[in-house]
Amino acid sequence: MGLLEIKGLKVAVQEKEILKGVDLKIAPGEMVALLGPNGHGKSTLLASIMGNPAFQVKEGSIDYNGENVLSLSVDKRSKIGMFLAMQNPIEIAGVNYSDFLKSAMNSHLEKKLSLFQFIRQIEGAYKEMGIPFEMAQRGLNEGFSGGEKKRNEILQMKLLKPSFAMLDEIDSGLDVDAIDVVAKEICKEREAGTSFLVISHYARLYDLIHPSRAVVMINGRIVTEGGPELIKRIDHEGYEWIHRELGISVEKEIDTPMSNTSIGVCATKEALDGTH
Amino acid sequence: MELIKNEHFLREYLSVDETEDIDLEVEENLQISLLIANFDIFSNRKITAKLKENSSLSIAVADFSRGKGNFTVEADILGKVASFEIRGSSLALKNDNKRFDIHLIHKFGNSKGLVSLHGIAGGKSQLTFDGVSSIEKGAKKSNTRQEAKIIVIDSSAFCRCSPSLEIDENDVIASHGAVEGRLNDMELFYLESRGIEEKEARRLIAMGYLSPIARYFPNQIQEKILTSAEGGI
Repeated sequence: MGLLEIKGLKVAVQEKEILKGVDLKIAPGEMVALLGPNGHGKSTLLASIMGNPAFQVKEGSIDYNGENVLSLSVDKRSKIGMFLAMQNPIEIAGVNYSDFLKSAMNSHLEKKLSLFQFIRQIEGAYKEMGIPFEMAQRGLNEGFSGGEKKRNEILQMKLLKPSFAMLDEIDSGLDVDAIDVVAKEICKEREAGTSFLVISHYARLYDLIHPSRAVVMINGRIVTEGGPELIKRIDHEGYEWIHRELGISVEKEIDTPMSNTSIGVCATKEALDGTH
Repeated sequence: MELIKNEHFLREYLSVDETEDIDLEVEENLQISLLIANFDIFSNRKITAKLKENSSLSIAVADFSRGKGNFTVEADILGKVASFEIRGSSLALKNDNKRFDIHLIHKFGNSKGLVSLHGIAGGKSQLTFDGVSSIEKGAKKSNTRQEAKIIVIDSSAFCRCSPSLEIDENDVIASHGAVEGRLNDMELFYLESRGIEEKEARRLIAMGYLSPIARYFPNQIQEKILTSAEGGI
């Protein structure tokens, strides 16, 4: 039995279909790289697995450890071990970061943490992530830089200890040193048994976290998969060869090879803007 | 109204559960801070203030009371380099009908104004923020800002924010912003994706609106503000 099994998943945003039948299986302990040109539905897939209400699942199924995920509320999905580090973590003014962490951590526990246990745990995690502890007293992501938000997403992952973590461009906005810190934490969690599904446009992150497998999403479907060599190939050649070798015509303009900087176009935004 | 701090050019007044009108003249070079907390009954009340040169008045309003009425503030900046600020948080529930009218007039230059109000409307309540900040001709280099945010947590509640600016001078900085609406789905999703149940997520967001006002108050009032906010939500 797989850890995560997605079958025939079709997802729309405001009636515009973005995922057009995704099939994907992830086994326990795997680290899967999710590749594909911008605007083809990678972020939509992660958001749909977590239950983002902006996306409507039209068809298909998502099972996690044999349980039907689509029937679960978002908080229950977290409680069964799923985690999504978001591409653009939202700022929530006035909500104190440490109050938020306490609620989140306690929601995963039968017996609530004492204040002492809580402080000790988060203090350690802040230190390991290289985040000043004073930031725990700020508003939730309020006024954080892009890089600070991303580090804090990984901090949350460390504290919540999911069995399956999805990382949506966790490395964008991070400088080289911060990427190393984040990659180290990802590897540590993986050694502890967490499985991963990771979107990145940079080969550097993948070099550091060593995915066991890569899958490529084009036109809202997973079209091919392979070992780590697939990441290298896309890094060097981009996605042109997919058309040549697999006969799949890429519906949208293919962006530059993954190691170049890209501002990013998300499928949801395009669908909402009606730009294609 | 109780004088709780009296230093050389600094006075701090605390008014808890009082309803009488307040009339203040802020003399030159004086700084006054007025802390108003209501836990009991909301009724009509009017605060009038005149600010002279180089003076400042900061008002903090923490309103967790029940009732109907207009809370009106009229502040006139009557000297240069004076500064007026009001920050407020209000929780309207049940059949409350609360209206906050804030009128600020900058008559002299180099003066500063800030009106910042946060509110939550639940039950069958009505919560209205109406603000007018005016900068008169000649009040050059004045800087004024108005902001209001109200969220409605029950479908039977009603809210309205209308911050407005009347500017008769070119050489000024003026801005305003208003947000009225329901709890943001994406904020809820973010919190819930961390395992937090919807009810708790709503509570955290609502507390985020109401609790920041507490820090302007002395300790024992701070506690009461936080318990009232928690209890109300």
